[in-house]
Amino acid sequence: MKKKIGVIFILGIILSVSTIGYAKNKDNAENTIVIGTAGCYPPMEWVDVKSNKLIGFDIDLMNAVCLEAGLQPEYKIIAFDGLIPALQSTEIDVIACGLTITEKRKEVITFSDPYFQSGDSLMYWDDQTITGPEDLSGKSAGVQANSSTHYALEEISQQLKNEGKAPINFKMFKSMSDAIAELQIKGVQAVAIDYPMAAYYMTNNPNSTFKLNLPFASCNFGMGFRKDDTELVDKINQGLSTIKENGVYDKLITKYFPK
Amino acid sequence: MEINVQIFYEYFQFLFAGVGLTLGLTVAAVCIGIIIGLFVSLGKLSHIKLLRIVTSIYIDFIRGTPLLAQIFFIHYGLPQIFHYSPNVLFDAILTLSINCSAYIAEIFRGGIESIDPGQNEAALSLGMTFAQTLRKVILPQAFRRVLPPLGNVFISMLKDSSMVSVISMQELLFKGTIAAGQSFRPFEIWIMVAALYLMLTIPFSRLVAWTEKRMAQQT
Repeated sequence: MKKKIGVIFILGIILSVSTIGYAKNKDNAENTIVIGTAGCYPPMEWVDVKSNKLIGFDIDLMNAVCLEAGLQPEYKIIAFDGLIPALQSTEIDVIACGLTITEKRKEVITFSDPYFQSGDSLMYWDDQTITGPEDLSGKSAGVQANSSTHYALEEISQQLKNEGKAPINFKMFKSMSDAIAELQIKGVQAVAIDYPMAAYYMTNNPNSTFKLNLPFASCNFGMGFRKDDTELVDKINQGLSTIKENGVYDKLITKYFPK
Repeated sequence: MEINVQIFYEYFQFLFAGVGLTLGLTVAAVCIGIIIGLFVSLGKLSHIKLLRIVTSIYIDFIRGTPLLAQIFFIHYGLPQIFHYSPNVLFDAILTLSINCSAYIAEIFRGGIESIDPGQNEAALSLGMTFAQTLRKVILPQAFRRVLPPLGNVFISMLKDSSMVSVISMQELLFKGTIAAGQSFRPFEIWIMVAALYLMLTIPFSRLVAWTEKRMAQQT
């Protein structure tokens, strides 16, 4: 009996050591960059269930840009909240996750040139009439915590308060998909969400009874870098402008955002 | 990189506001869990086979699945099938209560089984009914024996309650996530969150240790 326990114990140790070895990065080549993404925002990026690989606009774009810049992309999935900390701790080198360029984020990271124009929009049940964010006064709205859409809506809520109207009743989620799930069960009256993601949801769920408004505010997506990593920013910006000129960019746009 | 003390002042109140909900959720979950757990443990010790089977399945199911999966299932899964509008707070307390009830049921079962069966026989032969035996003889002794492990359940629940942050409950951990994301200062924020959790767990673990020691002296 004692022998058996000993064998199991040793097996356990071997197993755990081998997992550590597996988790460690393969020795990185000089020109490898690690790209961090949350991997749950279709059509920007998501994980294909069949191949278990990251796909989406951001991924194809980064692949094309890296090809131009002579870099070897490697992807890492990290929760949206953890992306900027992971960048700062050098776990990743680039954030490519539909990250909106904001003044507040510019205080801690550097952005590439804008690579996509997006917008904040509202999605809600078709038995409601919501023409703009002001109509959310006194209603509940699901947002992803710390997203730019959340910040934009919070400003509007503050304005409503100053005007003496009821503020927006926020419900915060860790991802946009959780916020949509909450909308599906009518736990919130509306969700505020990036327009491309909402539009993707609508096209892929034609039977849904949601309504989607056109964006109430526009914003730009950019890749995020560490502040001192100017060399990499230049390389990526150069690659970005090349693929915008040679038509690769437009092809990706028509692939992921068909009119 | 140095520590920005300003962050502590700026975010302390915001984070502290989450402590109340964490504590409230935990107290509610453990109290309801004790009530459910008591009945489940009695079912598991019952002479009726069906009751034993049902309660065994309940305990296996709850203990064998992750709390996070249970939260998603109850909050997002059930309303999809039964078409009702869920309440986040209700679902959070419900899931946490059900989750800890399974662990508490096993603790109670162990406590009740640890009472010498001779006492049960003696009480019954004195003419007490089964219910009387349970209430007056078995449970008072068993309850004292299960106090320390119940304290441990309470401490784990203080930490596990952070799971309901996924359904937008703004308890301490979610407040930390928001603050860390807004300030871009994860070090200061998570140190504060850890300190606030310790402020809840340490006094309680001392209390558990103290009751354990006192009971060891009595027996």
